[in-house]
Amino acid sequence: MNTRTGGLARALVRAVARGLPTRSARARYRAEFLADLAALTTGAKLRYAVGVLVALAALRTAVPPDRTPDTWPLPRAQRPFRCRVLHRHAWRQAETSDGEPYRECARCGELHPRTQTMVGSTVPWTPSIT
Amino acid sequence: MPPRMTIPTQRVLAALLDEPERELYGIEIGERAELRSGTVHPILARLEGTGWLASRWEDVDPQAEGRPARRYYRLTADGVVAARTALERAWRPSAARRARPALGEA
Repeated sequence: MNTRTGGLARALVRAVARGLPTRSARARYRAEFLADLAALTTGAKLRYAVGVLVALAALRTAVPPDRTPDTWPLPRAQRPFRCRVLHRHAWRQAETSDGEPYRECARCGELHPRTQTMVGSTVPWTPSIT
Repeated sequence: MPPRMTIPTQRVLAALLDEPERELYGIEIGERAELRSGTVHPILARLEGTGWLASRWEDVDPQAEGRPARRYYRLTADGVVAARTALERAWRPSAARRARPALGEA
């Protein structure tokens, strides 16, 4: 019975991890959930797995997209509704590999309109842009 | 962009600020924050996305330990400052609430 409950909990967290949007997130959270499960008692394992399932939608939103040049910024068709249609971006500050600050949308990778003119210019960065 | 300061987010930050130099894994954070088991990861992911939190895999041999390596979380130096400020702001009563007379006062 204990083994069956533990097996069910492991299967559930593996299934939840498969619902995450990127390959790296799937691999990371599968390993993380399984490691967390290993620290719990049998009854707590199932409660944990159900909690992970309940939180899946929130985790999908919170996990950052894979950022390779092929996948980021997201192609227009894959952008969330708020970005693609409503043009309501979630601006955040980021840095290039050589330390140049810029602003991009955390959801789709769109560059802030002012960033495009600022990168490479001598105009000081103003973090109050929203 | 700072994270939304929901009650669960405040509890997670308060739990991490108890011992900011100590690394904790998901279950420990959930227990300290008194959140429902398994529901802490979206909050941790958001905090990590804003740079307030850093995480790393535990450096152990799973064969020797008899369990998988855990993912440990800890507030960054910037995160400690930002989290303290955000919690102070979140716990401070709004001007409207401060101005409201207490029961029996008016």
